Amino acid sequence: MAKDDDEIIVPKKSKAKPVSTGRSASASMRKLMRVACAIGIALGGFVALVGMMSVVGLAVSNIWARLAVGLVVVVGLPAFLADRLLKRTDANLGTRGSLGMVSNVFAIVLLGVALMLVAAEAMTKNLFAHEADLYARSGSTTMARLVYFVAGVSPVFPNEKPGAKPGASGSASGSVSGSVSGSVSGSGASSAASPPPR
Amino acid sequence: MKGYASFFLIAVMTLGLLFLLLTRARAPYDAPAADPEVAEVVDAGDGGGARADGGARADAALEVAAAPPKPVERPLRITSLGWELVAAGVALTAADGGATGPALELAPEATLDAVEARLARGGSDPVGADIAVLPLPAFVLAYDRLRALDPRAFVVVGFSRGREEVHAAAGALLKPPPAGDEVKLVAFGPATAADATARAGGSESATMLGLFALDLLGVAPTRVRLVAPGATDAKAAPFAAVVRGAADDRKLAFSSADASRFVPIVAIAPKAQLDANEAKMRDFARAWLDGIDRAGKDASNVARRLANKEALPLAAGVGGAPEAITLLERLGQIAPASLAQQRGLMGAAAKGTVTVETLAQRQWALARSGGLTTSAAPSPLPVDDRIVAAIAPAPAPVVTHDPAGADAGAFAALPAGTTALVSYRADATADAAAVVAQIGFLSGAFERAAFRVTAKGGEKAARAIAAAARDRFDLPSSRLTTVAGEPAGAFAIVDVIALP
Repeated sequence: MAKDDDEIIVPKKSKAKPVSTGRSASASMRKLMRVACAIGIALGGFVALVGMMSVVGLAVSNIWARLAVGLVVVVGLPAFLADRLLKRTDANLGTRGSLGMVSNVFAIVLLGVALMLVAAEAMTKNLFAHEADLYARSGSTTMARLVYFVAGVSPVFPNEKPGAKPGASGSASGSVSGSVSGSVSGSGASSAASPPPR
Repeated sequence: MKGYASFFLIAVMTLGLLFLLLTRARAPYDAPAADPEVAEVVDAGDGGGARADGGARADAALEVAAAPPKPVERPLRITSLGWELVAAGVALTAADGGATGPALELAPEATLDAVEARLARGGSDPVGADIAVLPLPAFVLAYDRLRALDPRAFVVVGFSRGREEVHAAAGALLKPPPAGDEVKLVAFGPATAADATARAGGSESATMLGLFALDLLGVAPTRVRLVAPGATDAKAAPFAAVVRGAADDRKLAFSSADASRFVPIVAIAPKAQLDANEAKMRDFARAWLDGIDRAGKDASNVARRLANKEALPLAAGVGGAPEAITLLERLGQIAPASLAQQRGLMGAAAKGTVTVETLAQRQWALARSGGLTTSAAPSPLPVDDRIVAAIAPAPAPVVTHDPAGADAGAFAALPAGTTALVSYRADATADAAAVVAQIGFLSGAFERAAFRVTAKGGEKAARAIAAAARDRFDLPSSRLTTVAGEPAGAFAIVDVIALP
């Protein structure tokens, strides 16, 4: 049994040329590269998945619909690119080193998408906050906190407000500050000028 | 080498993403409360199995397990057109954020669209509302869009006192109306809503007051064309209806401080809400009126807390608050309505000349002919008096002026220092009864003004009209005076006079 994915060799495909990875790295370096790749896929994948789900969430609030579309994009896009690359090198998943290349493609694509989503803060902040609102409303506080973190806001849950009864998440009373997403309206600057009374 | 390059790229991108995520400025954000209905749907959707997000599954299950067995009663969500209109809610919230009355969540908004959006979402939505507090003219204009909710005004929480102003060229509201097919009025309305200056300097209530003034003058609202303040023909427009503080070259003619009962501020709720939660609505109305009283005694504290959003039960999606000084000024522009006044203002027991019903009828007619709304007043009017009938005492009996007593004498001359605000011009087709009815309405709307009557037929005819108005509406003779002479081009003219 191979020690790592890079060295998987399927006997029937052994005639295929190995994908060149240049000079062979030391075992510890290979381990580090694999860890970096895994972190990249996990982090980039999460942000990209949430980003895609939040786009779908603008139209559909059903969690399954959002998840399905998000997964299709997050898995499908890098998989398609990896497939193209493998075809260009006449390799397949059985070829030595090709699995490493596929995981690298996944990491780079997902991180690229995630970086774009996070860098375009002005446009995506409300998207992420809306997605987090959906989690908060469904009672999934941890997931909501993670997505609020990606959105770049500091959430105050109703049961965390001063004066709120412990556990009374539906009863909101207490100190809050301006909102950012403005699901209905509002900009959030606590002392921003507002139009005169109507 | 390619392996190293990929590793380097992935590492840099990962670090870059982490850097962006960790170093961005984080603004406070009101997370919505967990909605039991949504949670149930999510749980039921997977057949009692896992949630979509694997990481949240255990967390959500723990939360559901830790939840109390009986559902938590959600707060009443109140939205308002303007931050000052939730002052009562602030006064009902203790300085530590705890509620001293019913559990409320406040959602002040700056535009009527936003208030409508909250009402449309309903109180079960964290960004929705059960009740809206807004001026009656705004309710009249919003009714078309909210008709499916069957919203009803159920309590009067105050009256606008000087927030709306009518400006006019010198004496223009006391002279015969301008000739021509259309009369320009600088105001906020559907035609000028796209103009930022119109939005900033006008309001639905100010526009209604402007249309009312022109209607009194004999300019039917169908002839009025609304003009934005920034438009080229705005300078030449003889009239403007703006909110206090808006820049306007024309002279201030009168404001809602003079027409002190023309713009009531009402609380509205969908009929279904009133039917289903009548007891809760009664508690709310009682508490809110009490809150208005408390807010009046501590206006500076209320303004500061609103401006700083300090220890307030604000709803999700609420925008920025005005400065404390602005809020303090706006709070001063609201005359509170007390519990004792309620049955005199709406419902079957209200016998005054100006009630929510008569005002709604009049304002609907103005809005319909002015093109502000597409339909006439609904029948019956969307006013529900069951709440005030249950919580408020019977109205105090009206002080009757004895026709045979001291008040039956001649109408005295008005004291020096009076100011004519606006004239009602009854056209040549009108009759004395119509003029008397109009004096009755004006005496309610301008509750501190006097009325100077000039009529076709000379002073004798004017006296007859004034006497009829006095007897029919129990007006004191000191509020009526007559003038010799004939009105030019009209059956009668009634000048509304501000007393010193």
